[in-house]
Amino acid sequence: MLIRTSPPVEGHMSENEVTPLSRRQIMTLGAATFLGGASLAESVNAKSVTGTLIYAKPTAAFTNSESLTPLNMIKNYTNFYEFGTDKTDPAKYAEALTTRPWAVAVGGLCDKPKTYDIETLMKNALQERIYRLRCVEGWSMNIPWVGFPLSVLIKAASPTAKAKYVAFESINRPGEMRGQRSKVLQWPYREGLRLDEALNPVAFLAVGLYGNLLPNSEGAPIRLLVPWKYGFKSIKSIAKITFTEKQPPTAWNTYAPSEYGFYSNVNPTVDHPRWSQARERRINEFSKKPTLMFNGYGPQVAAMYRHMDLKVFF
Amino acid sequence: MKSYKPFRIDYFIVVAVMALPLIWLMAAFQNGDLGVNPLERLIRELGLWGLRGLILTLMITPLAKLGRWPLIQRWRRPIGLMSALYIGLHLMAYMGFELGFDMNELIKDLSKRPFILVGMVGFVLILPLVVTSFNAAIRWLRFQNWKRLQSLIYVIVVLGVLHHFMLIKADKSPALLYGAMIAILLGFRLYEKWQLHKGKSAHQL
Repeated sequence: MLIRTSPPVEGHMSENEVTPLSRRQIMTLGAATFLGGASLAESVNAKSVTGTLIYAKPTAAFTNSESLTPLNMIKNYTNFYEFGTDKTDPAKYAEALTTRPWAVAVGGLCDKPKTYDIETLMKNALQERIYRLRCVEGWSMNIPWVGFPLSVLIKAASPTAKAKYVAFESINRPGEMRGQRSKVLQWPYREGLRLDEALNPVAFLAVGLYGNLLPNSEGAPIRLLVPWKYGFKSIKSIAKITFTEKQPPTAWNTYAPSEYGFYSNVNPTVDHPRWSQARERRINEFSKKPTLMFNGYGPQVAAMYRHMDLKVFF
Repeated sequence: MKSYKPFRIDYFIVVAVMALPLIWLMAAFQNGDLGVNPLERLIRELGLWGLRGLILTLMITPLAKLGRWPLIQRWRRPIGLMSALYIGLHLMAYMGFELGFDMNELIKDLSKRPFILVGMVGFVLILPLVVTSFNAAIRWLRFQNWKRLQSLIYVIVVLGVLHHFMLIKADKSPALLYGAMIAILLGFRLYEKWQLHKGKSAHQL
């Protein structure tokens, strides 16, 4: 079982600091969610589930020594247009999303298509990764995620030789996601990676954050993290993963192709008409700081783009 | 003169009311109530209140005429000046918090991002209105010239709403609402001019 009632890994906040629920409540919730499957909604007046996770500490390659963005700031400053266009909307409205049961359908050009139950995916060996996340709007955070490499899921599906891209789709549930009732973007939210990008060790599927299950506002129950790309590439609440031959359409690229490229690698030398990409404001810090090429993940990812003009394929 | 003076109090009230959003902003900033990215929020709110103030300035004349309340005409100047103050603070906050008062960064921003250029042109156009906002200026420039100069506010408010519209990522509806208000207010002036013109022509006949 993934539930852990012992104190969190050293060096992290205590549970009481990172969640408004008491330890006893978490234990109750955990039991209800994972053991009995009983209705949780009544006990917390919300459909979201919480619980702590068991995971391995981050390896040296996937951590950094920068200070972590506090959980309340992460939750209250999120672009998740499915719940509204204001960055405080997800914290207010995301609790309406039912995250159990949850299925992730993996298919398309692969030998082993399969629809996974979220609980099955949670049985993968979980590890923590501290990743910088840089928003296209010029702000950034540093967040301890818990999950497993995307390559685990890709390899299990065994994509065919024809597969060149991986398309991702978020859940489409206008009844629970009030933002989907207005057509700000095309729903469901879509994202995509080239197959080699998806297989890169940095590409990660997160199911948790700060040692607990993902809050709904951050893309529960499972989301992508490609921290060398702008934040909107890291699609939330994933329902479908499809291997394709052609480059799949993506939400922001469809909305404004001249502003948001398919690749959208963090690149301080390619400017956006609204935001300078040369520098960024780290949330909870006063002064802006220079933005790093590939958000600092160049050593792991730059080789994938060595033959490409990144000003053209922005 | 005696009947005029007691109304002076209204100037102070108008300025005080116009200062309320600023007081709220400063207090909220101080208390950490401006959310997770307070500097960005501060810049945005100052600009928004400047735009709202400009729209309010343009609303006074139609309100005075339609409501047959000519006394409020004199509120235009304090409201307009207070709006200019918000816009000036908006620019200062942007230059300070976004650029660290680095003029090279400002030039880069102006050349790279059209919405910044539009906003800056709007700000530059406000300056002559501000410096000629006292009574003696009307005498020096003569009323007709002064009025012509002050009518730059129509250009400024259109640049202001355009500046706002261009920086919104996806949900443009609030900017469109401001745009519609400005269109109505400008329409009112055009309609009035047309009526006046029609009246004159009729008179000539």
